[in-house]
Amino acid sequence: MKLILAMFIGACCAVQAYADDNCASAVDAADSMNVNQKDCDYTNEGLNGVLHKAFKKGSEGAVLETAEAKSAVAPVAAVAAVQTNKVTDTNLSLRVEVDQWSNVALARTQLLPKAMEKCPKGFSVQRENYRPLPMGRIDLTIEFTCFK
Amino acid sequence: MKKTLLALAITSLLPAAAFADVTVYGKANVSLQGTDEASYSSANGNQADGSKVELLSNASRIGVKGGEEVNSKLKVIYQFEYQTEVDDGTGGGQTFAQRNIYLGLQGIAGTLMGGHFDTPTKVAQEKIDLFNDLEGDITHIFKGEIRASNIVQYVSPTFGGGFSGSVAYVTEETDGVTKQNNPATVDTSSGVSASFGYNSSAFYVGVAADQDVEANGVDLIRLVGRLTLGAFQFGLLGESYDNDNTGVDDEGFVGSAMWNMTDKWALKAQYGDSDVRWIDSKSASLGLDYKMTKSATLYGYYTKVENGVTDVMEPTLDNYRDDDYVGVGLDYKF
Repeated sequence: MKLILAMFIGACCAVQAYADDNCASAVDAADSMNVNQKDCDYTNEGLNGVLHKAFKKGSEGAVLETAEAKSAVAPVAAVAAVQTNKVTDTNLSLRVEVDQWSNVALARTQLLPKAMEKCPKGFSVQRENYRPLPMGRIDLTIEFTCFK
Repeated sequence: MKKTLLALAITSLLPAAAFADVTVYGKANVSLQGTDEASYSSANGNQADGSKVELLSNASRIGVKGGEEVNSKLKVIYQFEYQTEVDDGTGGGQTFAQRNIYLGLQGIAGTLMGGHFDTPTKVAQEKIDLFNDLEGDITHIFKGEIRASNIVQYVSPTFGGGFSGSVAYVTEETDGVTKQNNPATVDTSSGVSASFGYNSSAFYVGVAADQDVEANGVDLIRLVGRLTLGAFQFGLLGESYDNDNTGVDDEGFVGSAMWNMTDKWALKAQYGDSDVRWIDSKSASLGLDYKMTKSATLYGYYTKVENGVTDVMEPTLDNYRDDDYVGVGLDYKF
């Protein structure tokens, strides 16, 4: 028992240091059984992200959007959800997280038709931004200008 | 063709208004393991020495969790999680076996929940078990790793920057853990499990205790600490076990260390020495993780376990085990 107490006191006296504060994965968050942990958004993550994309709220209940699901399901392993950051009359910014460089071209290709949906008369690409993320992931943001 | 049978089925299960608060999650963890298990008898020498290769499913699971606000100060929360065996699909005759399942109410004064889930003492181990669900899991040399049935729990809100506590009441129902493990001649009673600790991303300290949870007359105290120093994580757990029915009073400890060498590679080590579950148990593990993506981790491990074969409740010191395990596996969180 003395050994256990010594270990505990040692741990109590430990010096605080830097540590990561990101959200854990949904399965790890559930496994922790910590009901006080901060709310994390998993609507774009894993199986949950696929389901949230496939089913959207409708007046008659959950509706499966099969047309979007085809484009959403296929790239989900490589590309996190596309985020529309800003939409004005003529300018549009689409952002996506890519898991590795080999999938960047695929992600970029997927953003273009999404831009076309927002710009039915066509668009031009004004700028492409690449930013490193943890775990080797890449944040890709493309800024578009819609044709009037 | 927007509506399908699948959509209709899910619609019938999940109200549309609540769907946004549902998180569906899971993981598949499969390893290919070389197992070398040996049993020795001081009277008869080597009794069994078996080597085999096994494909193992290590607590693969799928679950849903979520909640819905009743008002700005009160929320209904739930979790339903089931384990499935990826390797052979048996799972003791069940396709899905219950893991942590609860329904509760969460407010500014804390959370009250009931169901079938890990006791506060089990949860208090936090992240220090680096070989959880593998052969190096601390459950192989410690007690107190109980997922109790018919358990009601209060969890305090986090206060003071990271302090929180939990207290759980395990009923004496015959389908619960408590009475199941009691000898028929022993009076049954309810059990209590409680924990208190301080948690931050940098360090964690906690103390937990069980009274009459495993069985009537069995008490357990657990002390846990974790420290994260940059790329290094260190963990310690100590446990004291007292069984009034057998007179057994034993202790044990486990220490773990992990070095995140890069953002993809992690080296892990863990050593435990305990008399709590088995006589003179020692478990040593080494592991290497390679994080292929945010969700997929490839891992390898070696674990050596030595212990007395007989449980402390039947202290026959005649037989010993000396087991080695080496394996590679893939963990995918989806």
